[in-house]
Amino acid sequence: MALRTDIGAEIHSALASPTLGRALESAMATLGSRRALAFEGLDFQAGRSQLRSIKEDAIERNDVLLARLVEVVEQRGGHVIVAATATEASDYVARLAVERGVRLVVKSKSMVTEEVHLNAALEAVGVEVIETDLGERIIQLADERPSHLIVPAVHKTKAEVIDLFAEKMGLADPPTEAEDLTRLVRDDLRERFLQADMGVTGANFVVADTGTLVVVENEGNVRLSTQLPPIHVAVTGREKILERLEDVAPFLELLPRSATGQLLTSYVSFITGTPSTPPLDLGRATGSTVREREFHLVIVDNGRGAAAADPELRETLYCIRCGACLNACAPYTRVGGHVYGADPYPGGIGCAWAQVTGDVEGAAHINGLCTTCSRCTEVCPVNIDIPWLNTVIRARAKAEGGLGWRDRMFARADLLGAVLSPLAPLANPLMAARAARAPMRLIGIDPARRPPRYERETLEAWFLRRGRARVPRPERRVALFVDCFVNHNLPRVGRAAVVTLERAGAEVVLAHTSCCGRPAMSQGSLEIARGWAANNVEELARLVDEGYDIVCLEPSCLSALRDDYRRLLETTLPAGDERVALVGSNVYDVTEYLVQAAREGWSRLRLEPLVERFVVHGHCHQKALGIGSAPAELLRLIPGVVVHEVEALCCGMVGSFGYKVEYSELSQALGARLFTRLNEHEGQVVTCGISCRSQIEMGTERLVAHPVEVLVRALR
Amino acid sequence: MSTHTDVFAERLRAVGGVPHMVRAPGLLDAVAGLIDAHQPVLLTPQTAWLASGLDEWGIESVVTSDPPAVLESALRRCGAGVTGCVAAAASTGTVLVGPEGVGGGLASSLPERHVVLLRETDIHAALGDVLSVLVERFGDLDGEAVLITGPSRTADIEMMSVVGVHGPLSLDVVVILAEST
Ligand code: SF4
Ligand code: SF4
Repeated sequence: MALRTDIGAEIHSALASPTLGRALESAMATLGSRRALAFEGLDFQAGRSQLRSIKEDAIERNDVLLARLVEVVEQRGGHVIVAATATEASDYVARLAVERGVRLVVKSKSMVTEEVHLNAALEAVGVEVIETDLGERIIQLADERPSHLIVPAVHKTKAEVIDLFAEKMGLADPPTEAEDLTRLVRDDLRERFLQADMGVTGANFVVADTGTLVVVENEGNVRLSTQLPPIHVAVTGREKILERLEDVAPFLELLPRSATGQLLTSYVSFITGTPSTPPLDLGRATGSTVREREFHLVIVDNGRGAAAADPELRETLYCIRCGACLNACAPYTRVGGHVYGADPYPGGIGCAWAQVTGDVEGAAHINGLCTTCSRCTEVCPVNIDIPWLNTVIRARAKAEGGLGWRDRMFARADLLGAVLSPLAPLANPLMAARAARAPMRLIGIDPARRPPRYERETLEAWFLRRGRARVPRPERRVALFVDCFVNHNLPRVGRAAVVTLERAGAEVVLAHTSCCGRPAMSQGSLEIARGWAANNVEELARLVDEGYDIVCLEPSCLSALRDDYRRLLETTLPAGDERVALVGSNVYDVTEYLVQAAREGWSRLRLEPLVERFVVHGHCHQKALGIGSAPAELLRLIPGVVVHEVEALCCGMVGSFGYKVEYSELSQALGARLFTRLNEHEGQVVTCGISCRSQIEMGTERLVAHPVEVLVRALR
Repeated sequence: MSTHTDVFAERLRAVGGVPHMVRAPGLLDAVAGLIDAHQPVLLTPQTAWLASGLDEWGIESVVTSDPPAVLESALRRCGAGVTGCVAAAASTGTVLVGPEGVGGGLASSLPERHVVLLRETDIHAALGDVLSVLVERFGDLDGEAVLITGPSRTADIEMMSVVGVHGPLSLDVVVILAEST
């Protein structure tokens, strides 16, 4: 594997490929829509919480279950080895092959064998290995590595596969239809199955009580690899162990649906003990000495045991490798698993797998590609918080390597604002001139990006000057969470929110809090974020106790308060401290809050008709929190408006992501899809996120407003 | 026919399998009709009883428990395999095939065509019911038990669905209708 040093260059060449983007985009769209269809009428949330609790329990008791499994498999005549490292696992199989005189191995798809580089180990001792899964076979012929968990050759177009087969199989006139290409591989591999001395498979689940391997597949190659060759070797990670056969059932409902959108795959094999077929000699032209059937189970640790004891990384082990998270991930869909992946594991969860399996450099290399949009978590059948795993890993990498200047700067949105707001008349014109921004490249900031403007009068200063408004017989009391961006860059959004909330019948105060910590978390400064979070929770919990509802303007801050604080503070707050949960359940997005007010009937808002059109872009964190439609619903309270919601695609800006030189090009590529959708509709563009707003303004040259800025114009 | 049976047939078709409804006396003819007489058929110890009947149709059969030498010379030529099944799920069109004695798994994985004999009374409503059967009867299912849902397939090239990869290219399920229906 080539040394990876420059993620920016890797992204650049992936984006420059004429075929990659097309291949990925159409495949991911197909998988995504098949998945959605397969889940119709099924309670996904209930299903995944069941899977999650089975996994939590199985990982909690992994040591006990492992011991039981070893005992049961050995009782049934199988051989078991628990390999501490990748090398130990692949050496075991290579040594076995040599001892038994194995010349030819047929292998079905298995990510763990990729992780331990089994093929290289077998080839090094002169054993021929044939990958039999169609996608894996394509990768093997092309001498590449898989780029997706389920569809390993997803980065290749059909045309590329045709050329590859023509070259490697010496075909003058290769077939051109997928069906004939598949048949070609079937015919080519049939004799290999019949002649192989050893079949290697992975396993999706291993049952401790019965010693049963459960393998899920479509092609039938797992079945042939286990039925025909005299020796069956299964290689699997220790996290795959479940206690009872019953525990497997719910996984079979969700895994195929999540992976390929099938209700069930063509085959799910439950293999217990050695197959009953006598070892047949179907023309093994080799020196194989095997006269008895053998079964070997190689259980790989390679960092998993340590991860099980690490509360921050543990949930990686719940992953069932379905690939749904990849299909939902915008950065993955643009650059693919060879760039957004730490060999062999692709995508955001791949970063976590790399960290778990000891490839800390690989994890750090791709970590910055995660925009923490949470699209992956929404579809994950075990509800893994992948963006949080990425945040934790980022913090660990930074703790090792230290924060650079750029990280420090982006981590302190609060300080930047405090310094630049008073200097606004000076700083704004200066930063608006591209030439003046050229030196920014030195600290890794793309000078082509326009930085935000700073306002001289912050929201807080305005509120102080204006004084608290008297709302007669207030319906509610609201403490507005003042975020750094609204305070320093867009105080007018804050002013509009204050006025609108007051007119709706709420008495408004500003909460005296610090930065929510999101920018610090994004840069991997968890310690800074933790300090602020603890302070904020204390202050906000006090306000909630006094009867205030907390309202946020920026969805990223909302998601920090409602969601991330739980994770951020779980290790520091004393057990039984309910304040995080209290704040989390009393904090609202301003659009959500006003819509709810209207629905509950307490809102006193009286709105004039506006005969205008609006195009609404939903923020990733609003979508993740299940309030994606609130901004549009709020606008629809205004009589006369025409509101169009575009599909919630990530804008690609994501706080500082789009400003960083190495990600700036990807950021714009991500934004491009959204811009096209937005430009299909006329009208005022509306969004809640500050960074979405600047990305859209830069990318479309259209002016963007926050929903409350529109609402305030309609106030009667 | 019960509703389960209808749903099963519909789901099976949706995943590329072919249902055939027969009454018990017509079973042998139905199976024979699915098999190409030019190639031997692979039976398992559980379906070996079909051998003499198929012989009348001029169909040669091999049983997976036959001596290795017999299998070694015949396996490559087998065009179809016939197995029984333990249970079926209407909701997904799935059949659960047990180990069926020595070498049973070969009959459902190696030949191009897989014919399954299913008693109508073994059709359950949902996949979960079949998984419960699997759990309850696991003692008898030692070895390999497999849930089969349609013929082998892939979508590894540009996500285009292709039926027939390494496993059987076609799956026929002969449903033996219950007397009362
Ligand atoms: S949070 Fe978003 S960017 Fe990060 S891995 Fe998940 S889908 Fe991809
Ligand atoms: S993280 Fe979740 S969605 Fe992604 S592969 Fe693992 S189980 Fe599937």
